[in-house]
Amino acid sequence: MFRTPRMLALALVALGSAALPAQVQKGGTPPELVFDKVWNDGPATFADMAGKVVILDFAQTW
Amino acid sequence: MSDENEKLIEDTFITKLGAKYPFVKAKGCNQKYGIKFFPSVFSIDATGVVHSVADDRMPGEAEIEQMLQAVSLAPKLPADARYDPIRTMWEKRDYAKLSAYLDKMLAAPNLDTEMQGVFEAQKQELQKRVDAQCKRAERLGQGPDYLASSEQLNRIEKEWKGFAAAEAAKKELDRFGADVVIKKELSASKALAKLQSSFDVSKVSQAKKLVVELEKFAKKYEGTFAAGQAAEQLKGLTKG
Repeated sequence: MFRTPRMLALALVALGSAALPAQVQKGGTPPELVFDKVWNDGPATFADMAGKVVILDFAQTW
Repeated sequence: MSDENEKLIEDTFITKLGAKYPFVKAKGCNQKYGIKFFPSVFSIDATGVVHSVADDRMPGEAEIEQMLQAVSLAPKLPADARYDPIRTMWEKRDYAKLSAYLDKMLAAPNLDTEMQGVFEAQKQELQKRVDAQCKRAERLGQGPDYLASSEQLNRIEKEWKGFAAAEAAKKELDRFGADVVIKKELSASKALAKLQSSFDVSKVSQAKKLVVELEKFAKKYEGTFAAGQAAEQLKGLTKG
């Protein structure tokens, strides 16, 4: 009776894991991004940050 | 950084949260960096290498300071002592002196081909930076946070004296000084900054006083960017 829901949960976890993109690795090269819009006097392009220390803070509204 | 729609970003992070740091919308950024949770912080050092990732502890002040020590304001130059004066001028942001030096060197007789190439490239780099600062001055002139813009424009005017960028910054600052609406925005932003610095919101009694003052402020300066910021701060302080 409990077998089906349990298997479904596992399948969902597996599917979820497969869908997750790989995180950028420490020591690697940061993937280049195309900026669609910049606020507060930010860099116009990703290349403009070359040679600087950059803190990228990924945010999301809830 | 976010990949949500522009209006949502602007309403939430710029207006409501009053973010003063550069904020970027980049389509697909979460996918490209493999973001699993928010906020996720990555740091990149001056050589373009990922220093820390979202799963790490956020780099502390000392760590950031250490990374900043490797930052050079000079563009790439051959590792040759002959170019040390140029490196120093870049580092000191002495652009007028650098420009005069490059002109003098390029006019020198019997300049060898390699040096000529390097000096010409440096002139081009300098012009590229001037052009970028001109565009930046234009962007800053659009507001809406005219107080922050005027601080940046003053810096450009001082740092790029003798170049088109300083002229562009001055032009915007002059416009700020002559435009009644912008002048009102500036005085409102200054008043808000003064008001905010007079209260310690970590203390309940002072936070309550600030709420009262912000309400008065929002009415007095209604329609300004600062009034919008005050209203949002008010929401945050009265929430719950």
